[in-house]
Amino acid sequence: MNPTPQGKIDNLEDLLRYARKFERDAALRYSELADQMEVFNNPELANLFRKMAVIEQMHVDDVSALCGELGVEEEDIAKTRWVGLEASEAPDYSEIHYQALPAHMIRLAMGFEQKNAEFYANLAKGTSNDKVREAAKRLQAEEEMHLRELETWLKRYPESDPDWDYDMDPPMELE
Amino acid sequence: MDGEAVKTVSPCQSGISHEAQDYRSEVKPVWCPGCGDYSVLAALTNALADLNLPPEEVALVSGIGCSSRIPAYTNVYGFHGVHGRALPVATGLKLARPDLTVLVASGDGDGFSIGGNHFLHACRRNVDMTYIIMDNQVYGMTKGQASPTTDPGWTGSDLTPEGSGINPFQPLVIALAAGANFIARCFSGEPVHLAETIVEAIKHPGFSIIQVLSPCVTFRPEQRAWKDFIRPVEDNYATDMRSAAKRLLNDDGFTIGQVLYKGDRKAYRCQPKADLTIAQLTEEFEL
Repeated sequence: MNPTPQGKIDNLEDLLRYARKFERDAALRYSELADQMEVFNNPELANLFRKMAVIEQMHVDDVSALCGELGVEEEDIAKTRWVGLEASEAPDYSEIHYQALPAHMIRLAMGFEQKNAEFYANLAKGTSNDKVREAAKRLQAEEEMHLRELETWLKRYPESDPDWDYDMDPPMELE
Repeated sequence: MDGEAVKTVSPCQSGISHEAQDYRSEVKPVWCPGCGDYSVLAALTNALADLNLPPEEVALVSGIGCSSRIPAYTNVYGFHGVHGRALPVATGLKLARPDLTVLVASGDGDGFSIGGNHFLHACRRNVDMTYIIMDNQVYGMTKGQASPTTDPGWTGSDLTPEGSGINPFQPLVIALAAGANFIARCFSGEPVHLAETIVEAIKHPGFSIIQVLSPCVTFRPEQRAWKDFIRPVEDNYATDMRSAAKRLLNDDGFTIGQVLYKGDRKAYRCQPKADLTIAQLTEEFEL
């Protein structure tokens, strides 16, 4: 149901608005998920989410740098509301399980990076505005770089155990 | 229409532009990971940012239950009230301080069982506030008992091992019959639509109710599958009760995507009394 932003992006300012808002939302979401995992005593995943939040914040910084290079006032684009658009890089809260393993979440994050890279690629292909195309390609390259980074992370963690969600003390039994 | 079609919601006059994060407190939520209420919190703060309402001009009142923890996670005025009594508290607040944007948060147990009677009369009174019900069809905080909206055949609780056998409450049909002025159903897994609907509900005069299907992944893990059978309604909202009732009565409870009903009843307000001096007020309270 989420509306696609593509129809709304026809100039450089809109693209940077979109990128900044979504990267920032994703950084906040990962940071929130890290808090959740700390509350639920899953420090490994909490640590992973903190790192992802840092990566997303780096995306925000990339957009800021791009604004500087392209002469777009960052203060203006930071005021964007766009309540009608969901950050495509931010994981859905319902995807999270309190016993999730790092490999699950890395795969999930990779899915979002991939989706965003495709979004920018399609935008670059479909726009007639040269500046939008150039910026979209650059943002696509950054997403792909982060995707490769996540692939290296994935190698550090074992593949998931089939009984990963088995809880020896499940909440239903406490009644 | 004899009521106000669109209410004036005053954004921040100081030139400050608020972001969603500006409405969050430092308190970290303790909902279970995967709980739909996280999305509701995010949608709510996005909606407030969209309206750019000054946090000090918003009040969020709740009752008891998992969902009712939400005021603590925001930095607007909050009141974590008595079980089932969020609506009367909010009604009093709005009548005393009509300048505030009053929001009420509740769950299906707090709102429709313990607070069921207040729900009926809040709809009937039509005071200008927005009621967000996070409906997960279970009492989650007390570890998973059947609530008023639970399916009669749900056997997940030791208290109802063969199901409750009781037909579920139909909150939106009842809200319509009782006089609610704005009725919508949303899904926590569609936070964008939810945020848009909250904005619309706040702007609409009178009593607005939004039923948010918000899965309890701990005590109703099967609700993770809700996202597969939630579907949007295709036509526009109804403005007459007859059409809205027909739609709601033919509905299976999983249609979202549009506002279901928008009425034109005028919001109830207290008639302002003539200004009294301190001496006159003292006299009024003398026994």
